[in-house]
Amino acid sequence: MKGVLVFSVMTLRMLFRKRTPWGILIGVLLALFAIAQVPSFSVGNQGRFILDFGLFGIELGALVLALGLAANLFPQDREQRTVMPLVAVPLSRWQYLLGRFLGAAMVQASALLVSCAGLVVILLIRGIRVPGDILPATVLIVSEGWFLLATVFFFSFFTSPPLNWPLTTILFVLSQMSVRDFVGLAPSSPDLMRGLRLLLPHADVFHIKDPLAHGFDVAPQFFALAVFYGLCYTAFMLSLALAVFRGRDLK
Amino acid sequence: MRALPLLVLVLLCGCSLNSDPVDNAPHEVLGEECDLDHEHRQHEAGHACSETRWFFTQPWAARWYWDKLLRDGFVLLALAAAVTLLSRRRGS
Repeated sequence: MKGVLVFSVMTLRMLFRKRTPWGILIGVLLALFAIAQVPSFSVGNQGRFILDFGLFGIELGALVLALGLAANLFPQDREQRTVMPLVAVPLSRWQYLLGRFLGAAMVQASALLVSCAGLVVILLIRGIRVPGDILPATVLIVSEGWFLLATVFFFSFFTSPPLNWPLTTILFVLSQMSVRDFVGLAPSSPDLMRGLRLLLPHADVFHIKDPLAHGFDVAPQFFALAVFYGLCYTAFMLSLALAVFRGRDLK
Repeated sequence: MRALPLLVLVLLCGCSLNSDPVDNAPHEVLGEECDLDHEHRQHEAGHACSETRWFFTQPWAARWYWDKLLRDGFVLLALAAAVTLLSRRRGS
């Protein structure tokens, strides 16, 4: 486990030196600032609007961060031939995967926490009440971000980065849909659509912006369950990624 | 070893069966929208009104859905362990 931690810290430092996470973070913060400038009829409506679109923007930021951080990691290691000596002597393949994932997950979590803190600051400056559930909602978005990160790692072991982006984005969009919405895409063949939906994750579990924006209290048990579900799906996607990685010839 | 993808597929489907909160919603929640007409659309924050079925059958509000969420989590963990062990055996 020590090897994993050392390698994850190396990954963390490498990613912080890159411009990608900083660029995405600045982009998300600018988007939040722009959302706060949209005029509304009343303070209450503006609060809802900022929270709704702000949390949605941060969720999209989680997707872009996952792709920006992880889509290139393995392909770059392979191209530069650094992955072979790494998995040949100091690390096994699962340690390589877990180290890379933990490093990227820490960077992504930091960026998402900063984004949510930025949203809170904007609400405070505007004199809008900050919902009490904003902290558990942030944890839930981080959990969703890690699930997306694991998905990007999974795709990165058998696709190129330009293909990874649309694949992960399509999975993100489709898995946000409820069963009914998904079946509505092809109403003429409901059984087929229901069957296909069974294979997709239920990312609608991470939808938390609506109750927050409309002033509803969310039970703490739900937050715990949804974070648990997100972490379990992350573990599952990582196990699939490892299975693909173990089967790959790195020469 | 060829059974691995099949196993994953079957268990993944199993953990998603009856996965629509609306399909599994109790009558009180689904009936709620029928009790109010369109004149009652204006409402205070925190109160249900007409055409709100979508809102109140979201996972955060669908308490009847939470047991399934917990079960799915454990199924996914079991799947992750099975895939990791089987892929390790195949690799060695």
